[in-house]
Amino acid sequence: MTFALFGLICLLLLTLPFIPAFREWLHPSDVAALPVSANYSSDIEHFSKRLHADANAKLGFSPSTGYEDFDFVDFPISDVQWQKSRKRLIARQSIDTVAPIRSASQLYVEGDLRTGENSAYSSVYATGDIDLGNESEVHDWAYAQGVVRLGNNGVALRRISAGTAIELGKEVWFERLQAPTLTFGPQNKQPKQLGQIAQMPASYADLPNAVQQTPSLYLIRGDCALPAGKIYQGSLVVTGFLTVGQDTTVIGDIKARIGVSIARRASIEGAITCEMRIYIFKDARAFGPIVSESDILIGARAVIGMVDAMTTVTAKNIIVEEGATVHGAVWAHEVGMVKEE
Amino acid sequence: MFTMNRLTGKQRHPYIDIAIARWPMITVFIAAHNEEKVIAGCIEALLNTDYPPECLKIIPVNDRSKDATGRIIDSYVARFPSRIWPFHRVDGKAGKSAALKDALQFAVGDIAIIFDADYVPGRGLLKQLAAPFFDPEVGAVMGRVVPINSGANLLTRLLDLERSAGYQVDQQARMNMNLLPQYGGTVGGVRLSAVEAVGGWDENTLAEDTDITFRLMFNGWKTIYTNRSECYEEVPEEWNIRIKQVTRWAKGHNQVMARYWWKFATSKYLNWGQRIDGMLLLFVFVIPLIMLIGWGLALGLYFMNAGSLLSQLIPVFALMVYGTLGNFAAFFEIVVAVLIDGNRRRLRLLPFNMLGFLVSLFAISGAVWSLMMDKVFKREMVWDKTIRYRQEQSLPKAIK
Repeated sequence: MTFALFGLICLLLLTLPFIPAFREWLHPSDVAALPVSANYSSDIEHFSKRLHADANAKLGFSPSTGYEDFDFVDFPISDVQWQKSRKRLIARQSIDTVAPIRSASQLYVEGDLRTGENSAYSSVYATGDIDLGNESEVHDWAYAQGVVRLGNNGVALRRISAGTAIELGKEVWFERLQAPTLTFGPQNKQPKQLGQIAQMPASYADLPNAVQQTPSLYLIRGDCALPAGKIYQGSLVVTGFLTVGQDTTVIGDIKARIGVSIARRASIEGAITCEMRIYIFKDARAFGPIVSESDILIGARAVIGMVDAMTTVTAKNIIVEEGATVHGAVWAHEVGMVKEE
Repeated sequence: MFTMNRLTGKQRHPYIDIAIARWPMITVFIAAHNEEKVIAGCIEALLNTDYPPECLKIIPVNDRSKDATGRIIDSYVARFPSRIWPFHRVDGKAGKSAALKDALQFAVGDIAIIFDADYVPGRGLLKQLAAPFFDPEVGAVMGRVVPINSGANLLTRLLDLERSAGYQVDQQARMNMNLLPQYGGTVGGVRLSAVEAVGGWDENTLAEDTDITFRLMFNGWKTIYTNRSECYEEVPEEWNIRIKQVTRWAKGHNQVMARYWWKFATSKYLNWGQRIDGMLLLFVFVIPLIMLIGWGLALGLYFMNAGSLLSQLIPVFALMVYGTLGNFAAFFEIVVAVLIDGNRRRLRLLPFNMLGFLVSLFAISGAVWSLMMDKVFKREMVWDKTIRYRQEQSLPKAIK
């Protein structure tokens, strides 16, 4: 009897999980395929394009989007209660003031937006330029069809993009930037004149421990230093730390697992990938994407990408010295900062 | 360990942020054998991607189709002659691997992205799959496969749970831990110079994806998994088709295991973690047969020499075994994967996965046995095409 009872309890415990299983099978409540958006992309301008579409619909320039609940900014703007607005705002002309504006609502400006020190926006779109004074902040996103300028000690959280350029002042903190030209800090410093080293063709095959993987790729196990003043053709993978010497040019992609250091006036005409830190020193050039899973330092007057061949710089932390230029996108997942040279 | 990594570890997506670049020339191959129901959807989707058209060549590989696949492809070629370059294969060895090998010679550029014809890539997918190739160490890239017909019946719902676990937990954890994610033969790509360097595309295998993954790995190349590069596929809706699929995978995988386990174990390019992970992965399709033999031996021994006390405690042991089953790593993976995906109620079906487990156990064991017999009798292995279920206009709203 006891044995039978025990067996029955065991059977009950064994079958218990099947009760909800059978119910779900016979009366399905969760059968939809995992949603995969056909239009998914990490487009930095996703939100600004939506605001632009909604504002244009409100202004009667384009068909309705169904989301046209805006207030209009009254001019002159001195009486506008920016913080109290509950709806998104449209300014039908340029805003130009030395006073700060701190707006919690999304702001769409037909024309330029120029505001004084200590301004703050959640998100802002301008059909002209955006020019924010020192210590201003953007908390969500900003987009200008022209130029976005953010003064010294500003904070640009999340997404900043522009149709022409983004110009950041000194000690600006940023996260994600994208424009044909990004400049960091003052750009007027002239490079110190150093003796230029004449470049000589060289081959990876002459480097210690080099193994040819494909006709255009070499692998080096351990650390590797490419000497100064050489030209290397092809790609290189290094399992340790890679140092590219001064005035050396690499026509290909490079990857190192421990770290990469690109010396002054060196040039990488391909991608730079590293699982750890990448140092791009002053006056160096890189044309392809720069990807680090840790930190990237971009030195003064270094130039990344080209206006007609933009590229991406991405890492957990990115520090850019004043005077550097990037053509394309910079994405610092944790901290991005403009640093004095 | 993988599941805990997904829950608490650092998640690696190093290349997903590359949104702007001078994109490399890529060739997209669409493997198609009697795919009239689905080929148009795949071509349309590829024409719609945001990859620069001047850097993209689309090659539908019409492998000896007897239906309207060829005509559908040609109609697109007539409309987009500069973008689609058809490859009509009328003879040669059967099978996707052989067809792709023949088609690869028409590739332009160093990167080949491969889709099966029933896949519908999203707008940004090609860039996501091409981006890791900026890393010169990357030999192959794999995206995530999502069942489109998950709600069709119990089998598809169980396969949906399995797929979630396989990609959302297994593959991503391998990526996070710098182990060995696998290239799956579709929604992914290979660097052609790397494939050439490791001996070229092998047509004499049932699992060309596993074959190329392992050869790349033990020759110093990396495979990258990009979890956010998702694409729909169809999963089998009938058990006999599922059994055939698992059998083919098991045979192909074990073929690779037999060929390369020693080279893999002694590769100088792998660290210990990668070596252990790879060896466990290589032998995974042998385990079911060993388990079945173990069960048989245990039962035999029990009936030959069962103590009376032991027989009294059978229900207790049964309960313990059952409880352990719930804690199987695979079941834990399914639970966490499905929760990460944001679904909860479908987890109620989890006990039924034991059914899938048992079916796979016998199917794989049969496949191992059959593979051994193939070797003994020198039989050639046969490639079975997986049946398509989709009606022409039944794509979900998200991809229309």
